[in-house]
Formats: sequence, C-alpha cells, structure tokens
Amino acid sequence: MKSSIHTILTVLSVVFISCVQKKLPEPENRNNNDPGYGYYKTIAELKSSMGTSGSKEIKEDIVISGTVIADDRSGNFYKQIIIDDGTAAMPILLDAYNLYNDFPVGRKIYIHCKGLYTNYYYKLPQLGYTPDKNGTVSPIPVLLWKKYIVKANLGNEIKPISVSITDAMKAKPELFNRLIMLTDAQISDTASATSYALSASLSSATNITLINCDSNTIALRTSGYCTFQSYKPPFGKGKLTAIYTVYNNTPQLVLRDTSDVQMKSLRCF
Amino acid sequence: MQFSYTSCYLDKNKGKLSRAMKNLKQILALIFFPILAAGQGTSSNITGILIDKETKLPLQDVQLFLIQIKQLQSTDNNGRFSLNEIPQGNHTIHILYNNEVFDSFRIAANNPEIDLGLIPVSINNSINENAASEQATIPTIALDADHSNLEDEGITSGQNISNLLSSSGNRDPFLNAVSFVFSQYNFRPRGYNRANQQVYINGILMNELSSGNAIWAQWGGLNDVMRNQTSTYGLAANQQAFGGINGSSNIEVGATEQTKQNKLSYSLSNRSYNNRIMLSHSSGLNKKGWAYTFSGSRRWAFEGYVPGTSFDGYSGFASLGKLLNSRQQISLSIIAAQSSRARSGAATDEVYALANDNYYNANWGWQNGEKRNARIGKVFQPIAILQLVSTPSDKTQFSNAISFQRGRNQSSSLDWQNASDPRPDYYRNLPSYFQNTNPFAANSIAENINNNPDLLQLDWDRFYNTNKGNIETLHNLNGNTNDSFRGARSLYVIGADVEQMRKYSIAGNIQHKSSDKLTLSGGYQFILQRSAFFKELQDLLGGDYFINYNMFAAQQYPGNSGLRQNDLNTPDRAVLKGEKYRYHYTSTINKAWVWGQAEVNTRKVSLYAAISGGYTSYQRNGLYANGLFPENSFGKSKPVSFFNYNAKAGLTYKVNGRNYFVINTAYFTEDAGINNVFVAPKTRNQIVENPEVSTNKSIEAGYLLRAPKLNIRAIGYATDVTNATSIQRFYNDEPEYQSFVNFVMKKINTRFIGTELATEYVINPLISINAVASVGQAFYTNRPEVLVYNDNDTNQNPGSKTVYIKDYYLGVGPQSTYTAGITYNSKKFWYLKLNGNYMDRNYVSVNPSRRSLEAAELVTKDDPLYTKIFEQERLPAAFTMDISGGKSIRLNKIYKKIGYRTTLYLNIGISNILNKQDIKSTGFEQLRYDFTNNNPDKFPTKYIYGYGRTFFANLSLKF
Repeated sequence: MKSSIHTILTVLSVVFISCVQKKLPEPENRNNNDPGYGYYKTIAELKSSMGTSGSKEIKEDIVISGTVIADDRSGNFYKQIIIDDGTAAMPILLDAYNLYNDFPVGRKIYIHCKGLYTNYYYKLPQLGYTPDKNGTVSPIPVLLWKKYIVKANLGNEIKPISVSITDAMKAKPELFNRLIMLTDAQISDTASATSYALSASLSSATNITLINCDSNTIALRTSGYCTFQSYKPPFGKGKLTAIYTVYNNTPQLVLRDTSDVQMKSLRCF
Repeated sequence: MQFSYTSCYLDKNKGKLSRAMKNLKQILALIFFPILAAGQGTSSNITGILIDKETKLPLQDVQLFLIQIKQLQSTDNNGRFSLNEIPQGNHTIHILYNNEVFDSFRIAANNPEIDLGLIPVSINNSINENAASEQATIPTIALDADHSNLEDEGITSGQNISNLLSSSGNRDPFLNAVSFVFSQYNFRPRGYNRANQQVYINGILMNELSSGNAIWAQWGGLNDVMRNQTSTYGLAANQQAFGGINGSSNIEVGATEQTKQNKLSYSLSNRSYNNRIMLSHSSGLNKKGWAYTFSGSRRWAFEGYVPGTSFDGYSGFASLGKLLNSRQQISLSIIAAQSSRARSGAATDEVYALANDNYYNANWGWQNGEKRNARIGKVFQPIAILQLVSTPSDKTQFSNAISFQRGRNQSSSLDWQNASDPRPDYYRNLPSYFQNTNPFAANSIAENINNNPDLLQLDWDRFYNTNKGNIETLHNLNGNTNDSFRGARSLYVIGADVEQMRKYSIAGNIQHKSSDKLTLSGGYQFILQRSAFFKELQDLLGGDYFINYNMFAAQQYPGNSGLRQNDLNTPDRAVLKGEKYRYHYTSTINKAWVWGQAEVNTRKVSLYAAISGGYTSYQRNGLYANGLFPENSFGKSKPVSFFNYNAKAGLTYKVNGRNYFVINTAYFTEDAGINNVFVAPKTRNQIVENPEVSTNKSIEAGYLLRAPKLNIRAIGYATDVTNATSIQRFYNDEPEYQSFVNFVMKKINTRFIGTELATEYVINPLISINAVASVGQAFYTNRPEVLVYNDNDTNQNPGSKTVYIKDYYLGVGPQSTYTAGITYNSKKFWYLKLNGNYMDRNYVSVNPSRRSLEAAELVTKDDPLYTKIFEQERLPAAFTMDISGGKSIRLNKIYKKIGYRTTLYLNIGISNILNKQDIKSTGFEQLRYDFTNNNPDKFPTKYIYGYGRTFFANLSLKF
C-alpha cells in the first residue's frame, strides 16, 4: 500500500509540475541583421528600364535594395515608403496604414521585383503591384509583402543632397524621390501660411511657397491629413529637408516631419 | 442475482468492517431507534423500487438510509421499499449494502404519498454512474465564444429525484439526452438566455451578478464532489430556491453530504483537454460526527481539438462537516478552481476555405517554433461557504449559509496603437477585399496563403521586432517637463480585460410541512458584489512602454491633447507590464430578495404557488477621468435601483399513480443587468434613458407517464419576454457615426414556444431505448426602439433608428433537435450505448442594424441584393452518431488481498463517430456592416464548426 501511495505521489508530482502555457523565449531581434543578399540592379538601373511613360511589368528576376528615406509616420506620405540606394530613390506602394511600423526611416530592405510594376504617377516614378480594373498600379497587398520584400537592418542613414532652390525648381529627374536639403529657404507668403496645410475637410493637400534670397521659388506640398497639418511653419530662413517630387513638370517638395525644418536664421526679405 | 442480508446495526459479529463503518454503525444504533419510536404520522410516505442499474433487476435486502433523520429501511424481495414519516423537504438517501454506502440519491418529500417508481442504483460493480457523470451535463453550461467542452465544465445531474416534472424515476430523460448530445452544437433549452437558469451551491446563488450567467469554470474539475445536485427544469415547484424562468440547479457539497469513498481517476480525451487526473477522498461520518472531503484535479492539454488551444486547470476542494447533534449539521467548504484556456474563435467562410480547415483559429502564431495564443481566458475565483442545516422538528428544515468569493476572471487579447489591425484574418488583407477591384491580386493572395499557410496566423516575430525597432522619446515623464525617456514604444501588446470581484452572500431556506396537505417553503438571499474592471497590460512584446490614450479619439480630434485621454488625471501615461490602462472602474451591485412557496397535495391534485420580491441596485465608480466625458466619468454614478417581483403557480392532476397532467405558469419581472443599464460602463456614468424592467410570462403544460417499462414526458411551453434591453457595442460604419457605438435596443419583445418530448422504454432487463425531441421557435415579436450612442465623441445625445427585426429568429442554436438511442446493459458489468441525433433550424444571429432602411438605402426591393441583406440564414441540418460504453471490474475478485470495494471503471465515449467536420454549430452576422455600398459580403457572417470525431476515455479506481 505504501509503495502504491509513493507511486501515486510521484505521478501526481510529475503531473502537477509539467507546464502547459510556459513563457516562450522572445523571438530573435533581427533589427540589426542584414541578410546581405547580393542585389542585381541599382534603383538607377531600374529607373532607366522604366521607359518614358505608363506602367510596365517587371518580368526579369531582379532584386533591388535601398534604405527607407521617408515613411508615413507623420501621415504626410500615404500608403508608400521611399527607398534610396545611393544611385536613385523610388517610392514603394504598400497597401496599409502605419507602414512605419515595418518600414521606418533607416530600414534597409530588399525587393524581389519580378511581378511588380513600375509606373509614372504624373511623371513621378514609382514601384507597385498589378494595375487594378481602372488601370492604376496598385499598392502591394499586405499578404504579399513577404513574397516581394525582405526586411534588413535598421539605423541606416541616408544623407540629404544639398540643392539650391534655383536648381531644384528646374524639375531634375535625377533628384526625383530623393531626400534633398535646401539651405536658403524661407516661406514666401507669410501672411497666408498660418499652417502647413488646410485641414482635410477643406482640402486634401495644400501648397505653400518656399522662396530663396534670389526670389526663386518651389512649392512645399503638405497633406491635410498629416499630424503637423495645423502647425505654423517657421518664418525664418534656413535649412529644409524634404523629398523631391514632381507633378507633371512642376517640382514639389514633401516634408517627412517638421523636425526637417530648421529655418531659424533671419529672413533676407 | 442474490444478495445476502446483513443488517448493519444488528449483526455485531459480522467480520472485518472498516473502522469508519463501525463508526457509522454506532451512530445509526444511537439515533435510529429513538426516531423510529417517535415516528409521527404527519409526513410523507415514499415508496419505490430499487433496481440494479445495470441489470435492471430488483434489489432485495438493500438498505436505504436518510442521514438527516437517521431512518433506515430495507427493500423486500421485490426491491420495494417504503419510507414512512419522512418530514417534508429535501433529503439525501444513501444506499447501503453489506454495510457499505454504494450510492445515494436525493428526493424532495413534497407530497403525502410519493411513488418514485423504479430507481436504478449501483450496488455492486456499478459502471453507469461514472458514465453518467462524465457525460451528463446541465444544458446551460456557459459556453463561451469558442467550443464548449462538456466534460470540463460539466457537472453531473447525479442521482436526483427532485420533483414531478423531472421525476421519472431517475434523471430527467429529456435534459439528460439533449444536454449531452447537443450542447456542443450550441443548443439551449427552450432557446432561453443562459442567465435564466440559476445555480446554487449549498444554497448560495452562484450566478455572476454582472452578466447573470453562472461561470462553471469556477468549480470545473471538481466533478467528484459536485454530484449531489438537484435540478428543476422549467417552472416546477422548488423548495430550495425560487429559481429562474428555466429552473435552477442546487448542488450540495458539504462533507456530511458526500458519500464515503476514495477515488482516483485518469481521463484521456481530444476535446478541450487531453488529460485529467483527479483524486478525491471523502471520509464519511466518524463516530464524533465529523466528516471531511478533499478533492483535487489537474486538467491539461498542450493542444486541444482546435489548433493553438492549450488548456491548464488546477482545482482543489476541501470541506469539513460536523453533525452538531441529531438536529443540526454544519459544514465549511472551499472551492478553488483555477483554469487557463487558450481560445479558439469564429471565422468567415472565406477564411475557413483559405485555411482549408474548419477548425482554423486566428488566435495563435508561431513563436520560436511553438504555437502561442493571444487570447487566453483565466478564471480563479475561489469560494468559501459556511452552511448550517437545522432540522428542529421532523416537519421543518432550516438551512442558512454565508459565503465569500473573490478572484479574477480575465481574458487577454492582442492590442495595438498606431498600427494596422494585426489579426491575420483582417478583412482588408483578404482576397475578397480585392475581388472587385483587382481580381488578379485576389488570386495571388489566395495562392500565396495556400503556399504559406502561416500567413493566416499571428506573426509574433514581427510584433517583437517592430516594437523593438520603434524607438521614440517619451517627454514629460510622470508629468515632469524636464524628464524624458528614449525607448522602444510598443505598437502591439497583449492586454487583458480583467474583472476582479469580491462577493459576499448570506442565504437562508426553510422548508416546513405544516400539515398532511400543506407544505411551505421560502428563503432569502442578500448579495453584495464589488468588482473592479480594467484593462491590464500583460506583455509589451519586446517594447519598453505603451501609452495610455484613446487612439480613436485622437483620430477624431487631431491635435487635441485632452480629448484623447483615457485618464485626464494621468495624461499620456507610459504603461508598463502589469499596469492598468484604457479603462478602470468599479461596480457595486446589491441584490436582495425573499421568496415563499405553498404547496398543497391531495390524492388527486397537487397545487403550488410561489412569489418572490427583491431589490437590485447598481452603481458605477469611475477611477479614470475620460477625456471625452470629463464631467461624468470620474467618481460615483447615481445608484440605479429596481424592484423586481416574480410569481409562479402550478397544478398537477394525478389520473392515477402513473398518469399525470401538469400545468405551470409564471410571471417574472427582471432588470436588464448592469451592462445594459449603463450606456458604456467602461468609460462613463451615463445611464440609458429610462431603464426598463422586462416582463417574462411563461406557461408550460403537458403529460407524464411513469410506468415500469415506459416513461413519457410531453410538455408544451410558451414564454413571452417583453420590454427587454440589450446593448451591442461595435464599430458602426453608418456615415453619421463612423465610430464605435453603444447600440441600445429597448423594448425588445421575444417569444419562445415549443414542445419537448422524451420517451424511454425498457424492452427487457438488457435493452432499453429512448427517443427525445425538442422543437421550438424563439423569435423577435416587435421592432425595438434603438438609441445609438457614439463612443468616441463628446456629443452624448444618442441618435435614433428603427430596426425591423420582428419575426426574425434568435440565434440560440438548433431549434429542432431529435435524438434516439439504444442501450445494452450486460449482466457481466459492461454496457454499450448508441445514439443517432438530428438537428435543424439553427439560425444565424442577425445584426439588427442591418435590418434598417439605411442598410438598403440604394437597393430596390426587386434587386436580389435586397433579399440578401434582409433574409436570415439557416445553417444546414446535420445528423450525427455517438457511441459509448463502459466496463467495471471488481478487483478483489482478481486479487483477493485488495479491499472488497475496490473497483476499476473504464468508460469510453466517442462523439460524432461519423467524423462530420462540416457541421456549423453557431453563426452570427458581424455587427459591422458596409452602409456605404450596402454590401453584406464586406463583413460576412462568422461561423463556428462543431467538433469532428472526439473521444473521452476515463479510467477510475474507487477504493
């Protein structure tokens, strides 16, 4: 009888110790890993294969890579991120909000381009997914991201390209989508520009004009949905870092965030 | 079968009795004679025939012992017994044979002459008791959103004979059959709300006062000690409690009520758990009148039937009881059952098809090679009950109890902020979302899922890496403008909705037989329940902090730092693991009622009438000052109180000892419960305008036949519930809301009508057959008034709306169920049972807001879409078969050294032996609806499938 009690107690103690919902170890932190794929084309090469207009399916098995230079954290970009590999930059259309969760500025990514489409959006190059029924190149659906995109490490830095408004106002294709920095910018219409943009209920986006001391101008376009829409832009003069875009033949700058606006010097006029 | 007669108190030379049995003998000898001598002629005379449970043969020379009045009787050569002068009230009768207690059942002595008919008991190698206890469950098990599991929440209906409606000699055959077979397909008796069945333990109401439901997990895994259970079904008279509109279950757990035994059992199953080990010991009464009972169990599964559903439950029970004197007994019982269950969920047809699995579960994902589930439900709410039972005279029994219960009931889920919905079946990511605009994308997504099925599971790897990479600076740390912290702000976390409750109860019950014909009973109950409700951060998933603010209000009012606060007292607070966030309030519920019942029994007619009156009050105390509702979220609300009264009455006409006609009727009033009185208890003190009290009118009538070989029970019922209130909380896509809303439906009228038929026929001692049918209709009978309160808007004035839900069925499981079975009981101590089941008319729960003009604004009546929007889906009918069997072995026949009582039982039940995996048991329309395009397919109906073939095998040793 005693031994059977021992047996029972032994069995019970095993039964009661075994753990069902144990705490699992955390997944590996891959934010510092670069799988180091060799990539087969630069973004500049991809751009040169786009043709001059319209959308085009990428049929070759090519991989590009780049570091995210703009994301949607502030809401000024919408369903796209922009990557740059030092040769050129390219917006990637992605079908979700809060893309910065996965693709924050500084993240390096690799893109398997076969099956994706290049497109010109009012002459601005972009990379997306198949055209929808209206013929518009669509953003890549979430459940296909892993098929096309590989995330690499965070913390990569892409330095903005210094450009003067005088140069920037000429719609330079080599600057399209790239992060540029104006060194001598100031708001021209200080009286009316009381905020970066009108609220979304009035206008989806608003242009304000940047001007330099030579009276050359370029538009700064800001979404009515972004978090800094209601903020008042500084009226000093100085540096402004932004993505260089084009709408047809008109260059436009798009801010990532107000921390990119460092206009604290005295205005020239 | 021959039994030798041994009187348990006369034969002092009988050999090796256990010490405990000697004790019992002495007690019996001490108290038995005086009572016999003082026997009075004013109480019930109860007759019946004990038959062997397996063989169905009469049991001769078996003793029946009533512990409360210490009466002992033996059966005659035909198994017949006659218990005379039994005081009215409920009694436990123990069955003794060869000085050992083998079985027990409960009776309600409520008529002068009671013929219990055939009573199957186990006297020897009983096997059915175990089978019954594993299988039979009260059909009001609180099923949650995922699959039910009978064996785990189930409580035996035991060996109870409570009243006429269910006194067909044993358990109610109707309840017995439908509960086991159809519970897993979401069947609900009469289509009633589960709160309509009350559950009492030692006289204390167990139903949780916020929802009204009994949470069976609070005492799960303690089946061995929960066997003394009396249930009434419907509107029958009940001397222990007034009961709900669907009756009540009364469980007696005190050690003095427990049959002396040791039991060790192990169960193997593939339902919600895989393993259960259970050990129980009941001492029986010693010579000083003490008795104690212990029981403990563990149930666990690394993965249950549904992928990703683990289960872990520890349960413990202890009770100490004492007979203070021949008239009083006291017991202290502690019930502590802890369980942790990883949940399954419902999904749309599209997702089930993509996953190619009807048991697809969106709640889990891989983490380091193991399945991790985000939705874990945990319950641990131990209860202590002190009960004193007095029998001052043979005519009167008092029972008083006090209890204290406290603990947590929590349910975790994935939570997120500034991130897209990370659930893998999120509608915007699925092929159907692209089907119209980009069919190529839709096909590619489907193909990609097919190649990578894990895309339909949670991506823990991504949650951790995203959180760790999201470095943000937190300014104004703890309100200090100079302090800041730079760290990983979690975008995805695990948060749990927690209820932490304390419940104090005092209850009393009196049962008094004032004359041959008149029995009075009554009782009172006071309950104070204080609960704290909050969201608790349980896992930062690799991040350093989370922020406590309302992201919906932040979107609604961009740039406004006040309105987005969940708690203005600690704005934008960083939340760490274990801390509360989002909402925090307490509720205080006071409930008190008294009831009384009078029963008149004559030779031909039994009549009863009962009334109850009570008071309920609700008060909310907000501990967060919500930014949207700063004026009425923090601090105490006005108390809201209701006076409710109930009445019921019934008449039984006894044509003769076998044929009965019965009619019962009831009128109840009921408040809507705290969650339907406060518009949004999570955020504010606002009370629904003019809270209503609902009225339940019910009638049931039928015929009962109790013949030796044939039992028939045929009942029709009709119940009208009027003026009910219900609040649904969901994201409303209507252009004027576009927000989470509290959708308050008032003055809802519903009707429940139907018939229940149960027959049981004993063909011969070996074979019996039974057939049971339940056909009902549960439906809405009016268009309720609707008030829509925005949840993320400072405007607190509700919008109004009309919903056209009249004549729609309620989604309460199959409303037509049929089951028939055949049982073979071998004389060699085994049995086999086979039954076939058919269920139909299982309607999908409709979304009321979709039955409105706005839902079909652009659709003409002759458009097929119009029909699609408004019709109600009926789930396909289904046929299933179950088989079960058991065998018992008396071990001392094999090893002489082993004690006489040591018996091994093996039971195996296989449900759905045809392995039908395509039976939809539950369907509900999503409450979110596409008002912009009037498209019912954008947020399609979600379903849950019943399990395929499952088994439950139990091996137990009684010694």
